[in-house]
Amino acid sequence: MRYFIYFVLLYILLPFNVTIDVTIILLFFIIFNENERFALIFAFISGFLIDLYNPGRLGVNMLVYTLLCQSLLYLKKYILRSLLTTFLTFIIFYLTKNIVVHIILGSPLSSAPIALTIITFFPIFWLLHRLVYGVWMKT
Amino acid sequence: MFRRHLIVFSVLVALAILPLLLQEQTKLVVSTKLSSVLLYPMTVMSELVEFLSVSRARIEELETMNSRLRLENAALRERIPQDTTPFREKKFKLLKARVVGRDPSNINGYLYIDKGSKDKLYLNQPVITIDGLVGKVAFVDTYYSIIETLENAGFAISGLHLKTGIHGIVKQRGSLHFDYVRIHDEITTGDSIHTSGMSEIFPKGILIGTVHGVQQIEDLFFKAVYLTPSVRVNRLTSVYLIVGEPTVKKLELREVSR
Repeated sequence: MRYFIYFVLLYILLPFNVTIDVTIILLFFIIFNENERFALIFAFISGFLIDLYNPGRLGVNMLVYTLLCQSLLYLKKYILRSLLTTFLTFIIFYLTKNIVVHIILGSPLSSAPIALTIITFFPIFWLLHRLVYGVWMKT
Repeated sequence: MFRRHLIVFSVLVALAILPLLLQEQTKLVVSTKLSSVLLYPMTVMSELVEFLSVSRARIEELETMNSRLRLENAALRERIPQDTTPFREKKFKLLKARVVGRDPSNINGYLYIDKGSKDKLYLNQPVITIDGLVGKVAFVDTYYSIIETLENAGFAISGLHLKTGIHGIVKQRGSLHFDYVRIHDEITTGDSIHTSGMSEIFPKGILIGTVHGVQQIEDLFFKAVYLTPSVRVNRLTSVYLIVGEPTVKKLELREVSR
């Protein structure tokens, strides 16, 4: 049931991805809270759907999302769960994704969506916890 | 357990690398076909969001513009009897297309749209939005087309300053210029430049942009005129293509007398 909710959320939130990168927050949430294999498949599908929005770059987001997801899955065992570390990990994860995608595509980085995504990270992260687990934050 | 995870990871990475090896044209065809099925709910939602984002302020602005144009139209119709040639009203057919992608190396220069030769699109077909001119069709494939926008370097079009009737060439050279305006021509900031209708591509009267600067340069005959495009290409999600020949409607005299 939870997995179904994630896919529904992905479909609902994807059109708003241009303004706030909600997909990356959702993926980050899944990496930290769900089965590793599911997280990997979800990362791949998210990247695939984002690529379909921009046909010229088919494959770029799929690859970046899958590789970054696997890296975070490997590193998460060594990360202490607290508000500060979660926030810092997300910022590094998100910025790495943006920088890698923009290096590959050679397109300019726009600061407004990055700032908005970082600002709205915690509210969305807490809402996801509340929606899926019924609590505001798991520590 | 770890082995199975490794297999899944390897398969996903291989699947992600595969499209990267495809040619650009193949990628576009595959993506367009897949997105029409997989992104259908998103497309519906995007259209709904787009529909809802037409704010009250925008509606009021359009209503004001509509009223102004009606008044202008009425004034023009009053002048018709002075003109001996019959007045004919042209109505163009428009085809809406969704912007599905952009050229990563020239993000505002070229737009990919979801209509192609199956929708009877052809090369150099004019592309507009409610705000004005966007560009022309530069490439047509079966399921998609590429539009060259007026923000692409070297894009040129014949322009007309309606107030004075000055003809010139609008050209993209880093910013939009209106060339061949003589030193003594009366053109000021805020004036509108429209398509002149002199080319075989664009019909007359489509707004290209507004003048945001006039500068005297080291030229004996001409001065520099800078334009702001009426359309914001980086915000476009859909465009309209002018399809086929316009239907010409002869205006009845009864309407004029009214």
